[in-house]
Amino acid sequence: MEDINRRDILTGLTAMLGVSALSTIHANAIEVGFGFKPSGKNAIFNEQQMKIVELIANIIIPDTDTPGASKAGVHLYIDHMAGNWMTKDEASSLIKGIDKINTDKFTSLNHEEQVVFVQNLDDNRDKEQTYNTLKSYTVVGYYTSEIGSTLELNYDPVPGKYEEIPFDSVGKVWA
Amino acid sequence: MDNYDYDVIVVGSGMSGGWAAKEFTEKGFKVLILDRGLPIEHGDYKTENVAKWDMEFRGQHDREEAKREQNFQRTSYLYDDYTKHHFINDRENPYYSEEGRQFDWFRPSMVSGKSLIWGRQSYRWGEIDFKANKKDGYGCDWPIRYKDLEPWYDYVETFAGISGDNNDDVEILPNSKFQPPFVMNIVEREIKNRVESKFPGRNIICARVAHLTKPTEEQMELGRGQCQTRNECGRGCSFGAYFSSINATLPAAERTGNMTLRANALVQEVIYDPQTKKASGVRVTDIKTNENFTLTARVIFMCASSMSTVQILQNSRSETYNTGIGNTSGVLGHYIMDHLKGVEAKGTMPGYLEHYYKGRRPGGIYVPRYRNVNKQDTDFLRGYGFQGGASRSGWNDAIKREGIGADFKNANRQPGAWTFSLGMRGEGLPYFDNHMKLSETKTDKWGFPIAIMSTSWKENEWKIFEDARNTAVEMLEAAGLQNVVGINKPAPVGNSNHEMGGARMGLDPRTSYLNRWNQNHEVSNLFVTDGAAFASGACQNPSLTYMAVTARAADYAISQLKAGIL
Ligand SMILES: Cc1cc2nc3c(=O)[nH]c(=O)nc-3n(C[C@H](O)[C@H](O)[C@H](O)COP(=O)(O)OP(=O)(O)OC[C@H]3O[C@@H](n4cnc5c(N)ncnc54)[C@H](O)[C@@H]3O)c2cc1C
Repeated sequence: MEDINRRDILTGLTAMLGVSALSTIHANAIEVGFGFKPSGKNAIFNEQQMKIVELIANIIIPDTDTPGASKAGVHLYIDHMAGNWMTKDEASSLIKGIDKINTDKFTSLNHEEQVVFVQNLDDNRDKEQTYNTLKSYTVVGYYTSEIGSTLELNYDPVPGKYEEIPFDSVGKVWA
Repeated sequence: MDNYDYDVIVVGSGMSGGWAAKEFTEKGFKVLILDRGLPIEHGDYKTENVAKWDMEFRGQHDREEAKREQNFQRTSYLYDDYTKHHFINDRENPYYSEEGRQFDWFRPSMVSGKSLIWGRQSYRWGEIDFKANKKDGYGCDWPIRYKDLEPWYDYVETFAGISGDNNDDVEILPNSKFQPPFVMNIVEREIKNRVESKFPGRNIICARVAHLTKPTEEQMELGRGQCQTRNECGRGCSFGAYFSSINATLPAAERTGNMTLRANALVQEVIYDPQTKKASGVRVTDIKTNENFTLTARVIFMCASSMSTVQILQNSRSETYNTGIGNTSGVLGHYIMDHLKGVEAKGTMPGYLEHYYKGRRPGGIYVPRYRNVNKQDTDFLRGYGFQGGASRSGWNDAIKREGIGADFKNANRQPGAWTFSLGMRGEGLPYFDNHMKLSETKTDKWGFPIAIMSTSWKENEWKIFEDARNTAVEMLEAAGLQNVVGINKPAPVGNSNHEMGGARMGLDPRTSYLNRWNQNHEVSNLFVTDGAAFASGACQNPSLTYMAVTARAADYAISQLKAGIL
């Protein structure tokens, strides 16, 4: 099932690469505020689950010179996908997996310990299905968010011409 | 207009129908264009400019809904949340394939048809293609040659706008009237040099795509502008930068004041009048109101897309023609073709990491056919070409990348290595055995008989698949690419979107459905100008040739109308 998840995400990605918006760029976008505005429709995570997902996502993609996963609302995105896009089986196995992370007292660890915990999951990705799913969704959720697309990456909704350029002139990949 | 409702009825408003409408209306004829699709206006593209973060699932489609409503269409490479409304609803519009003889039938849902969602790759067919049937005996001889179409290619290209490189000099692939090409990047140029020097006779050229790179006055007057390299074409383009009927031919017809376009109009049959031995009109069902009505015209142009055109013609039964109007030859529904697809090869190019690009090109490179050109150099007939290009991957690499935290995030800012890939399109031979018919018992909810497809690849096609994979890998390896993989997963007939045949042109009325003017051999005011008319398939994408053939046939019909013959 994880495989199916992953494949669907990858297929979807092709569609999302380089997707862009003309209408949504405005100079004051940053002040207007980014982040995923959840419709709240079929929200599925309880508070505890939401907390765990947010913490893990933000450890995978933390704040640096740009905002990280939490500010981009990645946990809300994952909740939305779990409640509305995943099949019931996929969602319930994800939720079970998240609950299991908590039986390991994840939330009571301090930040450094949490990072070590997540690093350990990442080192064993092949065996950690729940983590694997969370990481895939974190990546997609972050880099397709407004923060991920426009602040972290290079956002170019209407490029104009196709041109060759030195990579250094932009320094990061296109959204 | 005597007793007719219109001078001309055009069935289908897509790639070919748009041209028919434009040509007749510009010459002063009253045209009714009927399309089963939903109405749409140019600019009325609901997902264009919607950022991914404003899409409910960031552009991914709802899988359950897709399975329920568009169980087949959802398999298109183009299908996602941004484009799904441009594909037909399979639940309401079913079709069947015979067991083990699958035909993949991608169909549009809107006025303008597949011209709204096509891939825009545009290549002329050459002399070798029109002579192929005669040379090897498969299919019937084309009643036209390249020379017959050449002026019509010039004509449609000038209006539509095709970008490409005037320096191309490929014997079997004539150049179009080009606007400037989308340039090759450094890795593509390097691979071109290496392949061309190692394999004389093989060429790598810029993709030729129906995108405006230097719009003409005429194009700008119609409200069309330069391509912005967004590469989100399947959603519709309010710049009108890629050619579609909705932004080019239909507006041109509209401004003459001679066009009536009716959406939601499912044409079920062409009506035959035994007295005049002509088609008197069409029977139509409005798919919203279920109202049935008949409309008449002096001339009927069938442009509903190859298989849909055949479906209508097969359903046009009368005492005279009990297998379909004008079908004494019995070939209607046979010799269905598509391009071979499913062979791919890719590899990574070491180095060039300081090079990057800006913009998302609609097309990269094209490798024209090099097999069996001047001599028979393989154990199969005809040949194949490749579409392809080089690019660097982006953030999606992060899904598989190990690591977490700031280092992970930084790594995701770096583009991946250059990868170069080729995707084959091969020529499928015309076989009587590849056919379609109508269900005798089942109809859709409007009473239109359901099409049953029955097609398969045969020995020659299997050999092409194999050879294409081998030569693709051989070229990539010779070009110094690493980790080269060749994939040979033949897609079913129809999957390349290039459905052709079923009402072929030919010299002999006993073995073909249409004459050299796309006119039925028996019913003189009935024309078929979409791909159904094609006697062979070449390996180049066909739409440009549909346009040229349609404009040419319209010109002929106009001369016949003026002479009082039609
Ligand atoms: C994803 C995709 C990519 C493609 N890429 C390329 C490419 O790169 N290059 C290329 O050359 N071609 C490409 N094609 C194929 C191209 O779209 C078709 O060749 C072209 O649109 C066919 O033109 P047409 O006029 O025959 O049909 P269409 O453009 O499909 O128009 C037919 C119209 O007839 C209407 N119709 C059907 N049945 C009825 C009926 N019973 N009554 C009334 N109206 C009816 C339909 O609604 C439609 O609007 C692609 C197609 C797809 C789907």
